[in-house]
Amino acid sequence: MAATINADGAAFGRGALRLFMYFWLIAACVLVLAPLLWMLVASFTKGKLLSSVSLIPRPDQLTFEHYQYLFSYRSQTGAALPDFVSSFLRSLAVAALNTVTVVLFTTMTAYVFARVAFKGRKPILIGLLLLQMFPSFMGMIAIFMIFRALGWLNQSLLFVTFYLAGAVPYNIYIIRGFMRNIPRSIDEAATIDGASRWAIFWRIIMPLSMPIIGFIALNAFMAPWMDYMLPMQLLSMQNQTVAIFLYRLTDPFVTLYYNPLNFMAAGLLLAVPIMAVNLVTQRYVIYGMTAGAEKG
Amino acid sequence: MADVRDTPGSARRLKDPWRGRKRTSVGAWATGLASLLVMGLGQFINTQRLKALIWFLIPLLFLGLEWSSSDWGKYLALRSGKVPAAEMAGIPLPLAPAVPQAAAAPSVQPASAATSEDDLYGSSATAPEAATASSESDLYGSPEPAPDAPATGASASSAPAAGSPPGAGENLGAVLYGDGVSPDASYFSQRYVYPDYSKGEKKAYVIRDYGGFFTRGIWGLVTLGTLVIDQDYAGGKIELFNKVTPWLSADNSVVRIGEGLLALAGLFLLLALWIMGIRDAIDTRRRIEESGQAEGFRSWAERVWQDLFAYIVSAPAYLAILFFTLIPFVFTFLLAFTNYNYRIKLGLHLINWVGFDTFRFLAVDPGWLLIFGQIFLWTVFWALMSSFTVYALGFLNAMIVESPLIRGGKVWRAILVIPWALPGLITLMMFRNVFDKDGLMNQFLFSSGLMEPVTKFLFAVGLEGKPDVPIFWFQPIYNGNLAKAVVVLTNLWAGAPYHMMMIIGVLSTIPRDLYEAADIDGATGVQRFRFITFPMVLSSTLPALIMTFSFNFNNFGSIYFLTGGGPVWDPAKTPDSLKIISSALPGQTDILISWIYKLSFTRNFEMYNVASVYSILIFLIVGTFSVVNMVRTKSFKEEGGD
Repeated sequence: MAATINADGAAFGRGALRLFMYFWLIAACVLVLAPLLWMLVASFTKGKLLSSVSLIPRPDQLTFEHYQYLFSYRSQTGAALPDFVSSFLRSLAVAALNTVTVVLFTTMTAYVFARVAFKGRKPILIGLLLLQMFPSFMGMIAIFMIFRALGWLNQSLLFVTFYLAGAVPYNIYIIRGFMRNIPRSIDEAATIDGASRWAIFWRIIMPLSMPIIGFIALNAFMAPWMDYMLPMQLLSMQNQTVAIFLYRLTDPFVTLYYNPLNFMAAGLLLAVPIMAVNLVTQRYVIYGMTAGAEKG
Repeated sequence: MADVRDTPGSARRLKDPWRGRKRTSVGAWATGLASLLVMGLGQFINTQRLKALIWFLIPLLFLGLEWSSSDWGKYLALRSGKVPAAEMAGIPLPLAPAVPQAAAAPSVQPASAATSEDDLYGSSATAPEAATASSESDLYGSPEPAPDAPATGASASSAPAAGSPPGAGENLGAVLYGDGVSPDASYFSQRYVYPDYSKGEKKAYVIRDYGGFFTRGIWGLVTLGTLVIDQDYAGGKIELFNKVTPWLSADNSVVRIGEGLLALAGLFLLLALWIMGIRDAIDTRRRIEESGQAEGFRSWAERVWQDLFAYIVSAPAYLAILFFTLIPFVFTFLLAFTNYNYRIKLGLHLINWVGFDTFRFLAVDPGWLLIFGQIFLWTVFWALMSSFTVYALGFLNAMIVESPLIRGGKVWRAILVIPWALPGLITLMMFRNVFDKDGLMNQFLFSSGLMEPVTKFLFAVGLEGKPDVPIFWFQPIYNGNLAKAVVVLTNLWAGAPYHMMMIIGVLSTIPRDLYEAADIDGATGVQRFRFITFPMVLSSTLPALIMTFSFNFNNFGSIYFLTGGGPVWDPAKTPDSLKIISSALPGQTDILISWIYKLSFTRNFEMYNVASVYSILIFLIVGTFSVVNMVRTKSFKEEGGD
């Protein structure tokens, strides 16, 4: 808002407005931070009861036992790694592999949708987007049967095939929107110079699409961390991913793990790196969101 | 394939040289007909031997798949009478035990009903389960039973507790296959025996007993199986699973649907290839008649390779979608037309096709209609409220953070954006604890002395049914409205930053000169907002807003991880026709999707057919909504007609 004074009362009005804004911002920040700080305090409190967590940390309740638990507890005797660490590494591996497959395959498919005119391009895209609207866990019975028939049960890395299917429609939709804005004259010039389609894709289109690919890659990296449905149905307990581990910490029916204060510690440990990645890469996200919103 | 063309400019399309130029001649028709009868014959007549060979090999490939996955060889032996009488079923064999282990213990008690007390203490291999589960596990290499035991025990104990989140720590294997039991050694000492169709009721299901991938798949899809455990059939007794003598295995209707769909997909592929072959034969003939010369194999191969580029490059994505989206979708769609629910124990019972019976029942039964109506209204209300509130708060925060009146906009923004960066699952489980009886909220209210006034206020405005101290945010039945409010507020906490960021992004794209012009005209701040900022932002974020709506309509996690659907409805008000589903009943905060989850995953109370019908409904509503939204966007409109 430009700082031009329109009327005599404006200065006073602006002051009141400014006061309200600061008040609002402080309140909002308190509301945002309070549950997180409480989580932090809880993760350093003894025992397994929420009622023993005090709003102001008490030195006599201070403990590191929950963090120690995460880095020492093994439900299987003789397991190489503690449950938390192994489930974390498993999720990390899935996330990393998922980033590669999703970026590679959805970009290639989006390229086809953006540059090659084939029959039924629009209906196929609409059909794909439409299919996404079907509750995905409803197909879980069939997905379970397929994974089982392929012998893929308990192999979390192979989940990337499922995540790829989930990511394709929306990714095509927004990458294609981006690629359509890359002038075709570039392609044509390269074709005249004798470049093959592959070369055009790898050397020209891919580098030019980097901003949107960054957004896609970030989404692909983030998605598997908190997926609940697939690992819940397809993995046994000793192959669980970190989301399932977290969930079991708060589920009173899983007596092996249940302890909300351990959850606070695990949740924070997991949230910090994910938040860091998210905040550092904000630029891509804002870009991708506005691209998704406007260009489509 | 011939339709795959590269267009240099989006507006310009290459003309198909073979379309609408000449009438198809008799010779072309003849080659087409030849290709219709035998794939590749048309190409052979066109003297394109190599191409003919390729087309000819395709059906062979399919036949080979059928043959190799079948026992047709054995069937031929049986028909030709080459099988010695000693190898027929019903004749006791000296070598092998006549009755296998699993059939010996008749599976009167269904596998998934094994909620005996042993299960509570974590021994999943109870007697009835072991009996029905039998030994197909070696075929699929299923996991060892031991590690899962605690989880199974937990879920068995959780099922009767109404309102508790279903499916804690279990997976589908137990329901579908009775997983978790290692094979019995006695199976491996058996020998294959042939069915003796002259015995017993003289029924013969030849395709069932010998068929391969395609025939058996289609047969299974049509019939959903015919034989179940303990039935006498062709001189043998059907058991849950028999790897050595497959025809003695009971039919698992769910597996039948799955295999049938795969077979159907394969047949569609064959049909598509067949049609392509016919078109290719006709096209080639026309070219020959026009130019007197057929296209060489090499140039054809090069052309096809070029044309196929689009398909090859996108093949992995399509394959993933076929297997993990499309087939599951069709599968679930089909379940809506069956009677598959918790009463059907696979292997003991068969599923039947019932047409639109489930749809009719749900549309007529007053109890189900009532509950569905309530859930649906709350779902729509939730989707509208949650989308509107996050957008409004996001907008407000964006305006304040970007306002020149305040300092340190970047710092404020960095703090306000934190909930967005936090993974959703952690957020929801954190709030589940915050609103616990001993959680942050009650603690804060106690220590600040606000407990009394707040609970009285909540009671006065009708959110709470009783002014409790402490406040039970999610639990007793009279606190349904409070739970709903908390669900919306939690979603606001988690969702507003996303919209704030998006709107900040859009704000920077509004041209400065618009504001300058407004200033010259003497517009006030309110006017500037109303006539410039708001319309500009809204028009660019409307598609995103609509997407948020459809996302929230299906926002399973926001409900399931926070309240688990609770609090439960008043049991006295539950219609009688719904009481059979017991713990799969929806709670007061359950939206459609989380109820559907309960309907399909609450152990012993699964209503797959109902869940499928509701899923189709959701699909129609949300799908229509989103597609209309997307087709309206600029980029879709710009595109050409195809």
